[in-house]
Formats: sequence, C-alpha cells, structure tokens
Amino acid sequence: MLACAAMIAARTSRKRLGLAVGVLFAGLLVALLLAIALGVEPIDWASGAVWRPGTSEHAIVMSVRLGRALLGAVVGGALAAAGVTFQTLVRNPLADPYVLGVSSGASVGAALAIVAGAGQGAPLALGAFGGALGALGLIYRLGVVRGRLVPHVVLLAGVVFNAFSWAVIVVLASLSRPGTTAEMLIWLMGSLSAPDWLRLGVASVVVAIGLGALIALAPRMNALVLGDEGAHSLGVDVPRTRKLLLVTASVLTAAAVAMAGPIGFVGIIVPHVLRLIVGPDHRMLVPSSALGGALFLSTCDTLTRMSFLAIGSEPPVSVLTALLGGPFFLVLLWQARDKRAT
Amino acid sequence: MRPRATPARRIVSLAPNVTEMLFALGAGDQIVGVDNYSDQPAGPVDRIPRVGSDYQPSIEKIVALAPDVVFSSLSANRRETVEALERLELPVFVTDTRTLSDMDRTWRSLGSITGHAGESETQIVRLRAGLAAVARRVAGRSRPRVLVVVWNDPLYVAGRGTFTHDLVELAGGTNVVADVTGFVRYPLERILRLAPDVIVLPTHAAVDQGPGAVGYWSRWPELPAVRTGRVTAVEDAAIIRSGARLVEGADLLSRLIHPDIAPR
Repeated sequence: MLACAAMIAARTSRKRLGLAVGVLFAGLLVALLLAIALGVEPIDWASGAVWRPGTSEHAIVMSVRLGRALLGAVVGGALAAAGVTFQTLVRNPLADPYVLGVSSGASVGAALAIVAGAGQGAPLALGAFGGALGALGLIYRLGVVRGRLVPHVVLLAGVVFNAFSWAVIVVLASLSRPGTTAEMLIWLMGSLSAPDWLRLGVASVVVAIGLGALIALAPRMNALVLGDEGAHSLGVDVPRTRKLLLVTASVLTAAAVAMAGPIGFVGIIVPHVLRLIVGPDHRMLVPSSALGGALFLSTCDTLTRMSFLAIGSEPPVSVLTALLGGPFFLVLLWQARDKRAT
Repeated sequence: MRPRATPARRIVSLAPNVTEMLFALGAGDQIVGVDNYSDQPAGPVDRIPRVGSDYQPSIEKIVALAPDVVFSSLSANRRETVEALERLELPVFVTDTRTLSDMDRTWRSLGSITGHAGESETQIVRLRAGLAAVARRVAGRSRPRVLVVVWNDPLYVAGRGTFTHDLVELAGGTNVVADVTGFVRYPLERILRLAPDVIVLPTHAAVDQGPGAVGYWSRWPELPAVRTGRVTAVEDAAIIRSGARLVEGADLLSRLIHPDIAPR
C-alpha cells in the first residue's frame, strides 16, 4: 500500500518535472529567438543574407545576437543553479553568490589577474575561480560553529567579505595605471558581450558538468533541508555532500563571473519564483532554476541591447537585473515580515 | 579665480593635457607638482613631484607645495577637489577643453596666467597652421569611414563632440559613429552594419586589454577594415587628449586614413 502510494507520488512528480522543464525550455527557446530577432539594426530576413557567412546580416545575427544570447543563457543558468545550492546549504532564502561574497571573491581574483596584465583569457577565469573558492572556503569555515553550519553567521561573513573585497578592488584600482583601472571597473560592472566561440564553448561545458552534478546531488539536497541530523538519519554523508555542493556551486559562480563579471540578483529572483511554482523539491528546483535563470538573463540582455534605441547608450545588464531584483528582494522581505506577524 | 598682476611661479597641474601644454609654453620649470597620470613630455615631467590621481589628488600635498595657481580640467578632475582647494584659498583655474574650437581659449588662459602670453599665441598659430596643412593634404580625396574605439569589450566609441571626432573629420575621414555624442557604449551590431574602412585603437586599450586588442577585431572579417588589415593601434595621448600634440595626432590619423600620403 505504502509502496504503491510512493510509486504514484514518484510518477506524478516525474510528470510535473517533465511539464516544468518542458515549459521553461520552450520559454528559453522563445527568449533566444527573440534575442536573435530583436536588435538596434533592422535585418532583412527575406533576402537570405543571414545564412551567408561574410555578410553583415550573418555576423549580426549569428555572432553578436546569438552568441550573446547563448552567453546570457549559460551565465544566467549557472548563477540561478548556484543560487539554489547556496540557499539550501545555508538554509536561508536570501543566500546567493552575490550576497555570500562568492562573486566578490571571484571579482578580487579577476582584478588581480587584470593587474597582472593577464587580459581576459584563461588567467582571468582561473583567478575568478580561485577567488570564488577561496571566499567560499573562508566564509564556510567561519560559518561552521562546533561542527554545525550556522546560517546567519555565513550570511554575515558574506556581507563583511563583500565590503572587504570591494576595498581590496579599490586599492588595486587606485594603484594601477589609468587604463588598467578602467578595465577593472568596466569589468566589475558586469555585462554581456559577443563572446568568442571557444570561450563560450569552454564555459558551457564547465556549466553543463556543474549542472549535471547538482542534478545528481538533488536528492541529497532534499535531505539537507531536514537539517544535519535529519539528513544523516537518511544515510547522507552530510560533510561530504556539503563540500561537493560548495565546490560545484563555486565552479558555476566562477564560470559565470569569469564570462560576464559580477551580475547580481539572478541567483535570488529565479529560485524564489520557481520555488513558488514547482515547489521545494530539488529534483525539480535545480533543473528548472537553471532553465529559468537562462531565460531570465537572456531576456534581460535583449532588453539591455534594445535600450540603446531609447537612451542612446547601452547600460550593463547587471543594472537591469539589479533594478528588477532590488524591489523584488524587498517584496520578499516584506512578505516574510507579514508571515512572522501572523 | 581673480585676475592676477604677476605671472604664477609655482604651478600645480592636475590634468595630463594641461601639463603637456604648460611644457609646450615653456612654463615647465614653473611647475612644482603634477597628477599621477601626467606622462608627457616623458623625461622632464618625471622629475616633478606627484600629487596623486586626477580623481582624488592629495589636497595636503598640493597645499604643502604652496602653489600660486592650481590648474585643473573640467573633464579630468572633480568639483569636490576644486572646492576643497578654494576653501584653502588656493587660486584654482579650471580649464574646459572639449572640442578643437576650445583650444585657443585654453592656450590663452594658460599663457596669460603663467606669463607666456606671447608663446601661447605662437602655439595657436602653430596649431591652426598644422591642422590646416593636414586638411589641405586630404582635401578632395575620398573620405573613408573611420571608427575610433576607446574600449573593445564592452565597446566604447568616440562620437561627436570629442577631440577625436574633430581630428578624424579634419584628417579626411568620416566618423561612422557621429550619431552619438561623447565617449559612449555602442552596439556592436551597428558597427557591423556601418562597415568602417579604418578602425583606430588608442594604445591604452591595446596595451591594457592584452596584445589581442587589435586581433580582437579579426573575429569580424565582414568588416572592410578587418578584411584589408586596417585595424591599427595608436598612442592615445595624440588623438584623445586635448593637449599639445593635436597636430601630431591629426597627421597620424590622416596617414592611417589615407595610407597613400607620402611618408614624412
């Protein structure tokens, strides 16, 4: 009887997973199509020039629009999946790569790479990864008190680390030559631009591996929600699982930051909305957040590109995610306050 | 600043273009302090004490140098800096040199305050003659489409209302991004559509964005400039800075835009 019920539950949840993933995937495809179709330059689709390499139409659509939309999707997917993971790890819905200082750590690492004259290639990515992992290691160490993770200590450590990182970056910037300073500050604004295919390919592979790992770890993330003892009683090796999740989420964050600079709020907004829609089960939440993040950031970037027509300049995409994310964050806090009051 | 009777003998310059112009006027040995980014003329300028960045110079250091005038620039320095100096009763002169047409006024102000009024007139004549010579050389030629990239990724370009724009037009080119004003972020896809014949990268970009700055453009062989190998890095001080080397900058640009002009 019980086994039968469990089987039915499993079947319905698989159906719901299929539905959620299907809808989000379709949404992402639409977003990518819009990203290709929309831009500041009109495209004559009927002439077929778009399909002929060497024409400006081909370069605009395939390289600038498609490349950039795919980059937005990869970065957004990575940030949202990392957000879900961090929220589960510290059992706090306000955690995300930005708040926890992981993005800042990655930024410091990247800034060091820029000061060292490394340019925007592999050294910057490695610097970002080292910084992300270092920041998370430090914050995690601080957050574990007598063998148990204390969420508010982790968040507080993240906030302090953010301020500290910013100071380090400002010091680096003021010690550098003007060109280097400009490079650093421009990079820190967090924006998307047409990527070269090799870099995009490498980042996509890294993000795909990270997402695969998170999806595989999703049942254990469900167990972690029950608390350390609860997870342990279900046979989950809690410290080991935590480490795996931390490293994976850091890799995802570092890949995103290395490609686009720090972009905030994607890791908070997307998981929250999806938690409301698909529920708290990580087997649903992780893949749908990744797809939702991809959808969200590539859409934001299309709006960013189009805004040139309205304001005569193109703001970094991080401005738009923050303009949407800031109020969203406050609404979340407001609702939490109402809940506490009742 | 109140008009003064005697020429300033102890000058602090807070902007690279002003420093350059002061040296050109022969006021180099009256300068007692410069900002960290003043790098021209290389050599003499390195022997002058530094007072910090354009953005946030050390007020204390400036005061300690007891200048009788501090030159600042509207674009390089902040109003807070000027106000802080004025509160300390230091005479500050703010230069505002946005386009070629502002140059005469800046030369004259610097000349009269430092006691080199005669030399400033010479500089104005030299500037006009030099620019006219460049303009004559390119007169009647076709006007290739030129893009000056201030930053590759994300893309920032030099639009209308900049020195760079004036110099490009004077050197016989057409600035392809004259639809925007100032140094602004610009959509790459519009550049692909505008198809510039010549792309110029000021070297601070080439140096600081790694050796790949020129190579970066090779990803778009659709662009005429890339196809014909006419993406070039040049020294930024000559074409972006409103200093003493504008004729040099115009000459350099005219040779990039019209490669058939006989070498000097």
